[in-house]
This record gives sequence, structure tokens and C-alpha cells, in this order.
Amino acid sequence: MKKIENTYTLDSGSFRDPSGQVYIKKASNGNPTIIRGINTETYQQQKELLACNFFQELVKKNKIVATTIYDKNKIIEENVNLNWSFYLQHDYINFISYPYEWSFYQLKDAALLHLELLKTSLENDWILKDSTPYNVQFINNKPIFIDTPSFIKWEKDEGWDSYRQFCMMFLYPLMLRAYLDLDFRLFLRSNLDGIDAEVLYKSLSLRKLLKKGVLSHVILPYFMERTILKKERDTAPAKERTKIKHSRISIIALVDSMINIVSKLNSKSNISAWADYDHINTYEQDDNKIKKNFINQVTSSKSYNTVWDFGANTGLFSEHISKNVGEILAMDSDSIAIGKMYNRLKKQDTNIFPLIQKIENISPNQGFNSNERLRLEFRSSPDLVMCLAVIHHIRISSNIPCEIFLKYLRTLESDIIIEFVDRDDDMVIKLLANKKEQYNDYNIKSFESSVLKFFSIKGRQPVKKGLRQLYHLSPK
Amino acid sequence: MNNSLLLCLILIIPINAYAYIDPGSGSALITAILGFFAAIIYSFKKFFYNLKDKFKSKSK
Repeated sequence: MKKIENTYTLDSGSFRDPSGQVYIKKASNGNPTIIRGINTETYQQQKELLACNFFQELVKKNKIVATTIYDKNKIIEENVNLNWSFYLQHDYINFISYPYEWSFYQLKDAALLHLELLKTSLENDWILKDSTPYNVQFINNKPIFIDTPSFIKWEKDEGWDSYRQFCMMFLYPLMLRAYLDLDFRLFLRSNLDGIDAEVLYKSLSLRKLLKKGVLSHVILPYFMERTILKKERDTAPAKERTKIKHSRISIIALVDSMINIVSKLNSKSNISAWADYDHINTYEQDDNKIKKNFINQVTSSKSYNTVWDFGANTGLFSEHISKNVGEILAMDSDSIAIGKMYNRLKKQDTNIFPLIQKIENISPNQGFNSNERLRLEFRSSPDLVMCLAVIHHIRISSNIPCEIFLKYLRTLESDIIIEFVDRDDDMVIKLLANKKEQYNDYNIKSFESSVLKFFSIKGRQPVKKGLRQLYHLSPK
Repeated sequence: MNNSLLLCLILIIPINAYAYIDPGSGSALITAILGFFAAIIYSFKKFFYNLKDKFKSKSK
């Protein structure tokens, strides 16, 4: 009998919580699972938590990741060099995404889940010690909480310690979009700890300071923080503030009012360059059919587990091939288009996950030691990448030569479906209309010669009377 | 040399002064204030809904 080999890989982003660390266990004969090493104190609380009805009810509703105690002896039998006192096992989540890749509605749903769990916990003598969206992931476009050691027993007189973190990571980003129509992702991607009250306070006009939740959760914290900074600078001693007593009803009431505020926040911005593109694009019905047939043919000819759809817009073509493939990351740089797609897909049972990614500037490795939050390519390995009608933007709008772009695609080691939009196409004419540089290297001949350096052409299909060409490529 | 040392000190001192301050420590006080008012509204709402339910069930 073949010996089963297990490998444990430490999750590089799980070092901040001293209660434990996360490992991805990959068995040679089965699906991966998540093993979490924990200390004795955490084990005692987790054991008690797992026996609570409210917790198991939330697991049943897919609001918390399924969790069990993992037999410590198995770790010893598996001969793995881990030295934690105890272990937990969680269900594996295929793709880990980050809040700076989410649309407004994804972050809002994650915030509402967090608050619901917090309120239910408090009603059952538990509390969540952290308030970070990194503890929330999405399965089937529904948010799910993944960090069970965040649940700790609520001690009498204890307050909502992670209130400030909730504001910085959830509330202020949502307010930024709802009240100022600004993209919170730019802040969340550059500052992993979230947005300061100061940023919001200084950005809001006098009239907007009266908006729901601003006085209590922006102005008050901002002035309080400013006073502390002024009073306690230099060698002035820090004032003891942890002895303030809180009643449970006051925390529940505060969480309840926060639910009320967050649920009423909405993104006003519905106008974007791309969100309505699938209705107004320059395709004729017949051309769209040809395009759909081609991608359908490619995806039904071979089994593809993970598909990346770059420039997915609101997900028209992703949806067309979703039945043929394992899972699809439908990516676009337009947050409004991704928000629209998410709101549509969350009502369905689907294998498509909408994600904001700018192909020219994909999420990088970052955080402590550039290893805490990982680049997209380290979290997902596609076996098919679709780039439909994006190459002209890559070359003309973003100034990236086709050959360099194709070289990047080659590093993904996957099949490619790419659509070349020729110079006589209306959209390319529009892009070049006001440019001094006319990108003479952008033509089908030069594109194909670059393609052949890295890929073999498996199939091709002209669209729009030959103004566009679809290619199915496989890496050389 | 002295001038550059002074410049270094000027640049470093304010950073150090703030590096020891935890502005987030004020959130215990903020949540206590906000929680106090929220609890009054929350209790009033609960009382009002209970009263409404009682009247509804009586009228049935």
C-alpha cells in the first residue's frame, strides 16, 4: 500500500495572534484542510465554544467555517515538526481574497456578518476580540467567518475592545464610498491597518458631518484621539483607561446601532466606464454568439479547474462558461462593475467569484516582510486565463508592449484565450484619436509573432468581420 | 557635524514622542459614552415594541 504523505505549510499571514498559527495540510491522497495550532488557554475556550448551540447553529448556516478539534496524536503519527499544545481543523477555503480586492457590497456584507456574529456572541456570553475583514472570506459569494479563536469568553465589565479596529477596517472605508464616493481600496491596499478617523474627518464637508454615524463614530473618536496625542506626548505618563466598566446591554446596544448604520450605507456611484458595457458595447448579436461559441468550445474540450477572466466586466462571458469549468475568478478594475456582478451572483448558486484587479497592477506581496498578504498568483493557479478585448487597453492605455504582457501570461503556465482587437476596430480608433503616439507596433502581425515566442496557437476565430481575432493558446 | 546632529534630533524627537502613545486607548471611553446612549435608545425601542405587541395581541 502506498504511504500517505502529508505536507504542512505555514500560512505566512497568521503570526499576529499569539494564540495560534495556521497551517495548510495537503495530503497526497485527498483534499487539503486547514490545521490550526493553538495554546492551552485557547484550546479550553475553543472546546467550550464548539459545544455551544449558538456557534453550531452559525456553522450550520455557513456563517462560520466548520471547525473540529484535531487529534494531537495524528500530528505525532504524521511525524510533523509542530509543537503546539493542541490543534483545530477547519474546512479548506479554495481562494483567499483581501478587502482591497472587494467591491463596496462585498465589504458591507462582510461587515454585517461580523456585527451579527458579535451580537449573537454577546447574547451568549462570548465576544469577538478582533474586528478585521481578513477574518471573513466568501464561499458561493456569501461571507463566512474563518477565525474561530477570535471568539473569547466575555468577562463581566469588559467592553468592545476592537471597536476602533472595526471603524478603521469596515466603517470608515464604507463611509468613504457612501458619503464621499471615493474608492476605499486605495487606502486599504496601502495601509493594511485601515483608515484613520482623521482621514474621514478632514475629507468630510461641514454638511456631511451631519450624516448618519459621523458625529458618534468619526468626530468623537477623532477629537478623543487628538486629545490623547496632545496630552500624552513626550514623557507624560499614559492614563489608565482599561478599568472603565461596560455593561453587556450597552455593548449590544452599540453593536445594534452599528448594524443600523452599516445596513443603511449604500454606494451612490453607479456610473462607470464599464458597468453597462455589456449592454452598450459595439458587438452585434451575431458577433457575440461567435465569441460565446468559441469560449464554450475551448472550455468543453478540456477540463479546466481554475479560470481567470481578466476584464470580466459584469461577468457575461464568465457566466457563459461557468458550467464547463471548476471555478472562475472574474476580475475587473472597475469596482462598480464588480459590485453589480456580486449583487447579481450572490442570489445564485455559482462558481464565479467577482474580484477587483487591475491587470496592469495586480495585488502584490505586502505587509510585514512582504509576506503577510500574498500576490494573486500565490493564492490561485489558473489553468485557463481569458483576456477578452483587453489587449488594446494594455498596449494603448497602459503603455505595456504586447510582448511583455504575453511574457507575463506565459509565467502563469496556463492555457489562454485572448482576443486581439485590430487597429481598424472602432474602439482602437477611439483610443488612438487623441494620442500623439500611434503605437505602430500594435498590429496583428507583430502580435502573432510575439504570441509564437511563448505559446502554440491551438485555435483561432475571426470576429467582427475580421476586425478582431480570438485565439486559443497553450504554453510552449 | 553639530548642525546635522541637531537636525537628526529634531527629526527623531517628535516621532519618538508619538511612538509611545496609543490613541486607540481612548476607544474604551468612547464605547462607554456611545454605549450609554445606545443602551437608552435600545431599551426604549424594546419597551415600545413590547408594548405594541401587547396591544396587538389584546385587540385580536
